[in-house]
Amino acid sequence: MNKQLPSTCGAPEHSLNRRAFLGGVGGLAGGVAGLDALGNPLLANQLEKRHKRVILLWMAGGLSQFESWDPKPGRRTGGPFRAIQTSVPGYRMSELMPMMASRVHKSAVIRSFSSPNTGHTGASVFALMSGDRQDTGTLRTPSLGCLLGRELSQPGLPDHVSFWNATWPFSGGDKQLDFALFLGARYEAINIAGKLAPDGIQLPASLTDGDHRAREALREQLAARFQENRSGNATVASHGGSYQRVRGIMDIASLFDISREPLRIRERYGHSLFGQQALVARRLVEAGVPFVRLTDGWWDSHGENFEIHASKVPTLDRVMSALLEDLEQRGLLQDTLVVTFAEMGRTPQINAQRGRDHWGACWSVTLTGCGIKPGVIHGSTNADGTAVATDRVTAAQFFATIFQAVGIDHQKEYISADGRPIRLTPYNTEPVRAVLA
Amino acid sequence: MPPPNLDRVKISKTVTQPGDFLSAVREPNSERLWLGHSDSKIYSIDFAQEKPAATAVFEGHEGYVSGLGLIDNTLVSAGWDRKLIWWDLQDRRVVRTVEAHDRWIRRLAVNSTRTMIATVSDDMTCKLWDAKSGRLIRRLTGFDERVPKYDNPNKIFSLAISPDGRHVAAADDAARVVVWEAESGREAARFEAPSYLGISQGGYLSASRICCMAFSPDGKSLALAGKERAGELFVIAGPGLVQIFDWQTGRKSYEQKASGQFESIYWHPHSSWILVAPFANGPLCFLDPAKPRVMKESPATIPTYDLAVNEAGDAFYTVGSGKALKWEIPA
Repeated sequence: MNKQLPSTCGAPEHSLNRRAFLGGVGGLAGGVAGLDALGNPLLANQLEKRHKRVILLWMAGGLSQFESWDPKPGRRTGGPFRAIQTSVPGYRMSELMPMMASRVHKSAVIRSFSSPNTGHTGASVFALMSGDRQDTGTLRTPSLGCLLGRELSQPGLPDHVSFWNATWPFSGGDKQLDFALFLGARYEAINIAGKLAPDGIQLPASLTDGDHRAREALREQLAARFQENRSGNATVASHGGSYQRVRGIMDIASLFDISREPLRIRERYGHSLFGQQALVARRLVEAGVPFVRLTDGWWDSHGENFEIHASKVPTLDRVMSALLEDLEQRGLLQDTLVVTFAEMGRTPQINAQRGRDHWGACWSVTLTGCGIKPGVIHGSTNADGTAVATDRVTAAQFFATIFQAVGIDHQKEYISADGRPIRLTPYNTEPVRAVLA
Repeated sequence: MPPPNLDRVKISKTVTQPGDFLSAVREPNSERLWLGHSDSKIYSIDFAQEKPAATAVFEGHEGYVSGLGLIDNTLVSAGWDRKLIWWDLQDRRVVRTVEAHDRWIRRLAVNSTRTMIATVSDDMTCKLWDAKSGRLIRRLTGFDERVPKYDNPNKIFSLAISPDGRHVAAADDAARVVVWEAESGREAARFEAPSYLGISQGGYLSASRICCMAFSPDGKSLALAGKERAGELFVIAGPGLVQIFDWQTGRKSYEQKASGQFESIYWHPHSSWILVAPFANGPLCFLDPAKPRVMKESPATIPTYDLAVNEAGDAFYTVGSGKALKWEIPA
């Protein structure tokens, strides 16, 4: 079932964004290309592409589709919560999400996502995070966040920032989810767990900014001499680049300080760590950071699924709606894609401990903002939520849709470390055009 | 007649039914149970029958039937649909329906004179109702809407009325206990039981909480049962915890741990024992109210959501996932 509201073209946001975009181009071009860039379609396109950002809301452990985007009230699989009418006619969501229900006409919901993965770790989740690659044999491919960080990279800014409101409970840590591989270490995530800012971005009291810059200049001078006969050495270049990126992060340290936000904005996001990290994420993408992941743990509700979701879904509802509203009001949503995703969904069957277990056959993901047609409810599941009824969407298709939405050719080819050509998504993968603007 | 011998406790009858029995009440001086179910229906089981079976009798809720009470010939049910419904047992009809709360009703209790009903809900209120007329008598508050610091929606899982009916107690997800005077609505006491705090050190939600409570027969003490704070993930496995407090001072006088998460509790009217039943991974435990020790434990066999004990204390019923069980305690 596809439900769609009329296009929102002509909304005030668009004109506001145009102004914001023009200002952004001027600032970015820094007098080199200036507004003349817009006269060159190719360059303007490149500049526009560089302004795209993605925020991924990662429901670590696996959000239940029944208690969120695809409720089945009154069915044996439905659980205790009611469904409420949303702002999309005919589409109902869990009563736990009243705020998103009132603004879901600005998002696209895919209820027919299907993947083979039903684990938190290991090869299958590794595959999921790079779009369920079945076509590359033993060659591992980079994860979504690293690819987007690489594609949307902006000079002087971190490419990839990853927030965790709690630590990933498995050995291997974030490596279970993010891996740059042949893209290079610079596209690995800056991980910020349990707090709002990375460690060590403030200068010690004994060191002035001027002293620090002078030291950096000396280091660069010495490094340049070292590199003279090593110009083709990627390791040496990467080492030098790391210093520049650290300096870049220190220069934007204020972005991690949410006390600079008006109280009403902070209140809108709430007092949870997840909410506060979402506010930092908004500040980062506003400054141009291309990819930010917000990991909310821990949704793995094998026992007491309904208690966990009764506690956590309202917070997700509040934070997600606050983030989308904030991005929209700032004119950023048109250029920022907000994605909800997880390792898996949860079983239709309710186990003896009132839990739901791991489930990959049919669950829900969402896309909002940049490049997305608002108000589309794509695909459906059967009455008990045990199978896809219409319009199955695979991880590869989902990833292709994300790439297309932010202006990246999903069939773009990379060359791996061993010289093999690798496309962003498997050959012949098609994006879900029904949700693309 | 010799007293019941806990060493001889055994299951004597079993009734199976798909889904979960979430609440139970026994008709006085009988073996008939009324049971609230996860399928929104209310079932009846007469364990006096040689082969008892569950029969769906009432349908009217639109969610879990989480609490039941008997007022003479009237059954009162509470649900996650926020409703209280009065049912005439003789005519098998609805007497009245009340939109009682703004969120899910978690528990229902009836005072010993069967004149007052108390309910608690995730709208973070406790409400007192005239048992006969259904009139709201009083709305009791004192809990935060959200769990401080963690910003999760707060919940009330437990509720008890003192044997003399003068006090009503409830506890929230932040492990705070409030006791009110039923007559005036005045807050009589408040204390914390942090061992049950439902948030782990790492900020994850956990299953730790005060699941149920019972006043002592003299009304001076309040027993709390549930799951102790432990671990970093939302796990169901124990340790279960029972603590007894002098509720007027907030002083803890008793602590006993055991496997499982205790979901229901019964304090014997002569303080012969306290019976706690686990939701998961543990046995039924008979505890000695006089000093912390397990007098007897027996495999619960099902995740248990509620229990009911007969007048003589020689039989009781546990209900839960897929089954309702009759237990006997022979002399």
